[in-house]
Amino acid sequence: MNARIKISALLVGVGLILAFLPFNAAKSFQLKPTELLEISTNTDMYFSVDEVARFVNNEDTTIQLIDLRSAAEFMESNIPGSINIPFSDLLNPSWEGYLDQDKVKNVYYANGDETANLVWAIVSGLGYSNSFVMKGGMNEWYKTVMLSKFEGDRITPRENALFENRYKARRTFTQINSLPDSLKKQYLEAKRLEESQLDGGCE
Amino acid sequence: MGPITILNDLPEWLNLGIGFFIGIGFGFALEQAGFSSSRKLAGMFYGYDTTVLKVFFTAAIVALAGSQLLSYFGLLDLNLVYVNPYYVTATLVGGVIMGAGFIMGGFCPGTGISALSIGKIDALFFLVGGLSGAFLFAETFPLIQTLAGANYKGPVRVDEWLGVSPGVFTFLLIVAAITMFWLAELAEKKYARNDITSEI
Amino acid sequence: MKKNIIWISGVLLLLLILVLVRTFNSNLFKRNVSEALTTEMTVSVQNMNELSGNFNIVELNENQRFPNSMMIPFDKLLQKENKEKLASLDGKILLYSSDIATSSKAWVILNQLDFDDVYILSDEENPEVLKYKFQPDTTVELE
Repeated sequence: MNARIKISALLVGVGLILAFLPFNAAKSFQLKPTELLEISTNTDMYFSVDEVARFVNNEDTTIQLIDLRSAAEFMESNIPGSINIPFSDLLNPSWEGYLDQDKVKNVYYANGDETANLVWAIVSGLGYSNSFVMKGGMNEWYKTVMLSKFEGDRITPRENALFENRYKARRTFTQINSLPDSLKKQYLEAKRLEESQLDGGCE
Repeated sequence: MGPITILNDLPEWLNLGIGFFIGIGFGFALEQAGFSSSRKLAGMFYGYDTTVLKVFFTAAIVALAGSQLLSYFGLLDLNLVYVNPYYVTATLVGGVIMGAGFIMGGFCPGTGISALSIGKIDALFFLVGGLSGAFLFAETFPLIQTLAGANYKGPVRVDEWLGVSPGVFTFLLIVAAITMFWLAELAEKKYARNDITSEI
Repeated sequence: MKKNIIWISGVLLLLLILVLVRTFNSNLFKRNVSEALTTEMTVSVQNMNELSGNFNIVELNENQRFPNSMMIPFDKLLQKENKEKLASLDGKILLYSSDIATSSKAWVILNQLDFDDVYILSDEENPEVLKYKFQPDTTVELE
């Protein structure tokens, strides 16, 4: 039997098997269910709002905050340095460069804890590493960073540092979000451009 | 390394290293298959040697079947595979130019490099010509921009266009390719020429 | 000749078996991810009684809060008997945990495992509403 006939027969056979495969162009999870469950039970995936406030104060470039709320809510107020990827638009291929990367830690947040954790489970299931959640979301951010006051007689150095951090983040948050909409748009656009340049030009 | 998911976690130098060795293998195979001989390449057009057709189509169907299978087992992310955008006019014009260059020069770009590496002087001039052509194209691009961008169809795939699943298309292409190989071998017998390699 | 045919059919058979194993393996995610974005997912404690049809509450914590609920600790969600229990439930499944983060993650896992009619049971009417209003400070200027 000729080598070319053997290879032809093999290829036709493989082709036949392929022809009967169900066609699935859609994306599905890369991780196995048990793997996803295991990392889901891990509490390493959370950052507290105080930690996020520190990232804002230090302008930490190893952290990317991702706001999952609607564009309108995002424009109303957002944590400085965030980008807006609305929940319903999560799988838009143009965000993939932000979501699937190994350079910065992505910290997801929405108003509560539900959306951010859904998104965390989805992107983790897709096999994207470096995904985190800001525990409590914007509600917790307002409660703790924006509105908490120190009450008591003597402040310990530790509490002092904590509140310094909160006050500083509060000032930045108020300043940026108080800008008129047009200026805010410009600021966000400039930030987005700066990042796409860092990202490189691969479509 | 691109769409193969298990290689994504390897360090960059290792990925580049793997690319280097695949490149060596590719060049070795091209030269081994006789693709550095312009007689063999031009033979495609005269019908006395259809190795080019057989090699390229075999590569295409093996790659097609392999990528479908790997993607089914989750080892390859087909979403990351780049699909060339389709410019109808530019493809037709470019195809004619490429074909004419192929038969006159006796090489296609890859085999030209393969031939240069075994010291063929004509391949050297062929490649210098090719590079000058690419340079000229880039410099005169504004003049031919309308032609180059005409009839843009986007990154379409044949299976989408036919409305069948990629698996069915793969099967059809395999059958078509094998029929073509059989016809090509008939043509080889009909237009056979004497092997003159030993006389030169 | 005969040897060749055996060899070729062996390879093809092996491939066929691998494909079949993959296709019918229930231990893999196969659903389209976009299902997790478009499916209705939240029901609150306040309006769960308005739900049409049967529903079963599945609690993912240790402490039982609802009577007649089924207890499945989150980390044991995918154990075989628990999966079978979930599959045997008749009607809607409401996932409850004291921290909605846990039920949200469980929801994604079950949704992608082809479970339908699964909901997150939320303590709050709408867990994703902003309870605060931003107070702008119009005196500031960008430095």
